[in-house]
Amino acid sequence: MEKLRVLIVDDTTLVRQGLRSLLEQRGGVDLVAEARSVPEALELLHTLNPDVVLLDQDIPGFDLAEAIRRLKAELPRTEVIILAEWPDEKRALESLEAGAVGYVLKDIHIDNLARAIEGVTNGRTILHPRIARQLVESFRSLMRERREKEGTWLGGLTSRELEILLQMTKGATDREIASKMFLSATTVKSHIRSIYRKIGARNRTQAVALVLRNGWANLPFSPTPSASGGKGEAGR
Amino acid sequence: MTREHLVFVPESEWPDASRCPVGWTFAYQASLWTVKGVLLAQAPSGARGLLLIVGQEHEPAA
Repeated sequence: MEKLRVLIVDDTTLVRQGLRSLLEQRGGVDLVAEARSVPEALELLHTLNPDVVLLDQDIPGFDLAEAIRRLKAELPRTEVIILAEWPDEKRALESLEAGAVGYVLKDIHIDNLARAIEGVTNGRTILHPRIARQLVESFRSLMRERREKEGTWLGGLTSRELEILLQMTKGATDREIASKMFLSATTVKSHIRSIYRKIGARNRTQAVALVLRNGWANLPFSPTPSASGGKGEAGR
Repeated sequence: MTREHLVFVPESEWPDASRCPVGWTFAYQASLWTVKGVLLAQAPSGARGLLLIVGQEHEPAA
């Protein structure tokens, strides 16, 4: 089978080389070139004719949505997947609207990135896991919950702060949270100060009480791993 | 190692097209899970939908 041709556009050398190394080890994907900027990618596009462009969300010197439109205008059949270091809902939607077919965080498993690349290029069929409906229900509940809470204290927290807050409700100490989340204790303390400021709590007890009072500790759930039948539910 | 799962959700079942779930964190069975990616994809039936990459952030708490 012919390998899929991939062009990566990222100004960070380590990211480009890391992805090259990981994708080459896995096989099935041919990383045909690396570009450090959008203009460089646009120059390479016609010569290389890639199947997929992996584009850094924070590529300097170019608006992300505009970059996607330019790439798609040059080669409409080339698919674009955005690689993001941090999730940004607004930019994710803008990217998809501009013509990208995927938006993934840079810390996803390389196998899943490769599946994503394969999936977007040939319309590969994907199994419909039994847990999909459960997931949709969970998201529906979460959205309802978010809408109700938006404008109040919960909406202002980052996902990391939410994680820390959840750990606090479980009774974890700063040191335990730091260990679990691979952060320094100082960073955890800094996040906790930010949480207090955002939710208007004076101390840990008050913060945990607010979580429990709002029922947030019982958030809707993500899919159950046991029900999914193990890692990698995407079929071939 | 972080565990990840891929889940396909048909477009018709996605509750709100104006929301993108990447980065959302959920609690489940004393673990935290984050949506690490979303891809526009196609089911065997031909239905369009979202492929979600869901990663487990931590092992279940003791």
